[in-house]
Amino acid sequence: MGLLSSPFAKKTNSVTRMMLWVIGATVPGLLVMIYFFGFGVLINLLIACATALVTEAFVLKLRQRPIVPILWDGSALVTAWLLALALPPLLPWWMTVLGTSFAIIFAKHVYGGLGNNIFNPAMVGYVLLLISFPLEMTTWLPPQSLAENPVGLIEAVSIIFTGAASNEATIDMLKQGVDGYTMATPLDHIKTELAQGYRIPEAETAPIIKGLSGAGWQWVNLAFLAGGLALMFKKVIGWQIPIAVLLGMGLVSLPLFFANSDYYLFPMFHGFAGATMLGAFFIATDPVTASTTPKGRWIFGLGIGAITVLIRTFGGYPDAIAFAVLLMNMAVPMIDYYTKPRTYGHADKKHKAGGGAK
Amino acid sequence: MDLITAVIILAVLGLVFGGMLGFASIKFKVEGDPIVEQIDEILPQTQCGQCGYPGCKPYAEAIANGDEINKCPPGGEAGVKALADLLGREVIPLDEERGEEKPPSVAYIREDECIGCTKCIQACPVDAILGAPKLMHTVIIDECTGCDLCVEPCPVDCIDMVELPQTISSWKWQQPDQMIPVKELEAS
Amino acid sequence: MEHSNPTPKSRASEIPIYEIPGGIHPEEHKTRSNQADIRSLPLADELVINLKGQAGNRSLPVVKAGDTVLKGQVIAECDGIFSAYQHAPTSGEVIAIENRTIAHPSGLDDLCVVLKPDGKDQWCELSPVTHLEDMDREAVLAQIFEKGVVGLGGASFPSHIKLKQHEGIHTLIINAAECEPYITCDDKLLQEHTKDVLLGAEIISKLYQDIDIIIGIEDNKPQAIDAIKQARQELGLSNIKLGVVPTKYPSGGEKQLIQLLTGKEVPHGKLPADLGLVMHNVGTCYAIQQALTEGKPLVERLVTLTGDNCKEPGNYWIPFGTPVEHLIQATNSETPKRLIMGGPMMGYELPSAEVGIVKATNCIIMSADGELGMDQTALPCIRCGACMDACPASLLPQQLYWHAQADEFDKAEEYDLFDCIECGACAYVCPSHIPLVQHYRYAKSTIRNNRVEKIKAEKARERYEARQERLERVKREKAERHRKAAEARKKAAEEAGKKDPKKAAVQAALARVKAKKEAQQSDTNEADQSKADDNNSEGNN
Repeated sequence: MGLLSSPFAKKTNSVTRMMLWVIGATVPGLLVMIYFFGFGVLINLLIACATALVTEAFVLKLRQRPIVPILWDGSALVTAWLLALALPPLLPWWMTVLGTSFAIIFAKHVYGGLGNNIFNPAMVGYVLLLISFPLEMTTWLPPQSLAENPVGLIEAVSIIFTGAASNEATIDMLKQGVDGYTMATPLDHIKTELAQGYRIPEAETAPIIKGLSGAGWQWVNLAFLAGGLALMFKKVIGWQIPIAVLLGMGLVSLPLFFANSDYYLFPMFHGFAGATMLGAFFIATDPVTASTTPKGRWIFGLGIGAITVLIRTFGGYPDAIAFAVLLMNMAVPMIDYYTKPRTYGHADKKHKAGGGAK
Repeated sequence: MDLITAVIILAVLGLVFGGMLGFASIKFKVEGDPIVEQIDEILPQTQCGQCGYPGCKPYAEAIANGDEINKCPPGGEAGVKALADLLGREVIPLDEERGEEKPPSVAYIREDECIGCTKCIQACPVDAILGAPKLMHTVIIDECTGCDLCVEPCPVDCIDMVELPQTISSWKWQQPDQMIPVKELEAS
Repeated sequence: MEHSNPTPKSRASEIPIYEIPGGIHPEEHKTRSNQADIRSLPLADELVINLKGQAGNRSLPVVKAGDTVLKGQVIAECDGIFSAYQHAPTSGEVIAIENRTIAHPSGLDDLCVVLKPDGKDQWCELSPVTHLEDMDREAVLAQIFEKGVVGLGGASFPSHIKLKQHEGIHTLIINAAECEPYITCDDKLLQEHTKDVLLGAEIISKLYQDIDIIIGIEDNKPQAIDAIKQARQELGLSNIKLGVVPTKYPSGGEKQLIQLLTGKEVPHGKLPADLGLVMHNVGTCYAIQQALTEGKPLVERLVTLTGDNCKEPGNYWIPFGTPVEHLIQATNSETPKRLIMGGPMMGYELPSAEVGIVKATNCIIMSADGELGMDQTALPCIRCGACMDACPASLLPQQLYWHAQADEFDKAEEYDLFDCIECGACAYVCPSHIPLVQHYRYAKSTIRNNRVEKIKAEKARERYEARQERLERVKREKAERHRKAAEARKKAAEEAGKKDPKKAAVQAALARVKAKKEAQQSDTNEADQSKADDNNSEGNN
């Protein structure tokens, strides 16, 4: 190697460290999810991680890239980890494998590997599964505190790998809540009730709706919020995007709520329901696919928040973090181009036109 | 009936958009340098003739008329790339028959051996050699393009091509190695 | 222009301090070298004085091998105005003027004067200025010029050029920020030679009709701050104010310090003088004071010797040309793993320990194994934006890197590559360990070289076209001459034919030969003549 340029001093940080911090910060949320939804969450996670590492190694081998240093950067692990946290707890194992490997191969390496992908790989994997297997992907378990038959470790393994419970209890039985309804997520529940002509105050009487959003779900979101704040405090992620996502949600949901609280949810509910906190702190902040300019970070976050609420409210899907993130990923090159900060000593100017014309 | 409506709508749309495109192409036409000038701009102006043309401008004209873009060794790979970008052609390796990319050099006349024949003066495409019949010649190195053309005609072989030494002002930083070193590639 | 809000944070500051974007807080490592008092070292056996030791042209040597010189005697003169005088750092014999490896990241050779000290260290006759207040501006500038004073902050810009412009200058800023880790020479100089530095600043201020002086200093130098306050009181200098800025790298960058102290940005492509400001380093003030009141030319400077392998770290007066190897030995230091000239953020690795100290050398780091965190493999950029948050110039380093590594230089320029001050804050924070600054330097130097080549190519094209035109013209003229000669011949033959057909035939033959001869001669003559004309006209262009 030739002559090295300054600086010779380096801060002791690394991509690996950042990725490990991200994984570490999800642990509170993960534990809460396991507590409420059983060991299926953990099994999904293990399947996804194993798949991601094997796929990544395989693709790197095909691309003739060094395997060990790149595997060690932890990015594949984070992709798998975040995807797994978004999956329903008893998803058949092969769907998890499919989603994860698709994320690694098509959303990441086809674009040229880490740093070159424009879409968040975890969300690409999630959306692939969601539109391919809509039923399985929206079949969540009721939180264990509400379920008549909580899922144990053995059942979870059995259901995920064979599709049948070991003690002849069917999945349908496991999905039974105390009131005998087939249970979905709180957001799903509200959507279904509204579709059936109920109003929100009526829909909110169900046992699954509780406190800030729903039984179990509020705690999951609070746990992810805590982990996310830790990341922010450690400066692993910037504070702008998560705040912007939540702000974007509030800016859209609050006027709607005031306009008609019978049909539109209170902003707090949006904030603590579904994948909001996971999305705001862990998914939207993926550095590779997020905007990187100071103003762009705000636009990116606000966009995700706003689109999420719009799809949740007016679209066909109960939750929409994944779609919102992907839509905003698409807009990132343009956002970055038009939000170039003013360089020291340069006059504030409209962006030079025709820079890209060739 | 439906079919006819559809066809008519499509036809009308086609006409409207075609008209708009045509209008835009006239109204917003970008005036550029003539292509030959732009090509000439990229060529290194060594005037060495290695491309088979008597100078850079003639080669620029030839390229504009469809000749290959890889016949200029002094321009090097970077030159081929720039031409490919300009003309929207494929980047191709340098034509080795035309010579290879050499470090910048200048002609040097060993002055005590020079017999003053003026042959090199006549060969120099940029008038960088100074001298008169029967008097010693010398190269103005700041003007010399290192084209090599004066070496051949010299009857006493007193012209050398001397590589320009690197100086503090011509030195430049190297591009850092891209990503992962080879060592680890082997390890895997 | 956008002004950031003043922060009342640093209590000791006497003027409001503004904020700058970005910046980093690297480990300081300053206590290692700022404990001991300033010392001197024994003279080296040989001094290698680099003639290109300043910004601008290489100085022209006025001594030759074998000459004996006294300390302070001129050994090289300015080549043009944008250059500097060089003086013998000690008395002794010039043993060679030859190419030696110089202090430059390239490790290339350049012309140096090699001096063998005689050990007497005998000054030549000095001519201190006795009535400074009577001297006019030009005389003071001339004195600064002749004493070889250049900016000692790092760029070695000849001071007389910087001081020349005086229209509309209202504030002198003394840069004492010294924001780079390890370096403490300005700090120590301020502590031990406070009055001299302040008097030097006063001399500069007088050049501009007693303008205000702001000393910009980081708040990690309380002793120097106290020393300034005390000296200012004793000297009764009321026009000096302290601007104490929070410790943050790179607050000592010229543009950054101006922004911190005034809230203004130096507009792109302009100079601080356009804002009515002029900035000089602490060391330069001291050198100017020495040049005028003592008459001493710039022959030595304060250098911080530090690093884990330096056994007697501290600040030393080092004569220019002292080989770094001598400094390692004289401080009983271990062979450094990495030898850095300058600070760890903006310095460069020395290609060899043989190189001599130059006017810009403020620090030598003799690092131990693992002291400077390098040798990490660069990983792909994950666009985390940490570099952007650290950039003091509000650039987008990730975009600059993206375009620089792909050789898309015009794109890189579109992202204001040339506004990068190469402070290294981006590379310092990069979690992927990408040598960002080197990518930028590569892009910048390639663009500069390309520009030079473009100009050369343009010149070659002009000459080529001029030659083509000339050849064309000569051809035309030749044809014309042949036509005329033929006509004359015909005419002569016709006239002769009237008289005597036989004689006419002979005459015609003679005329033919003559015409041919003439034509030939004028061909070569005119070709050379016209070529000489072309050369002349080009030379005048």
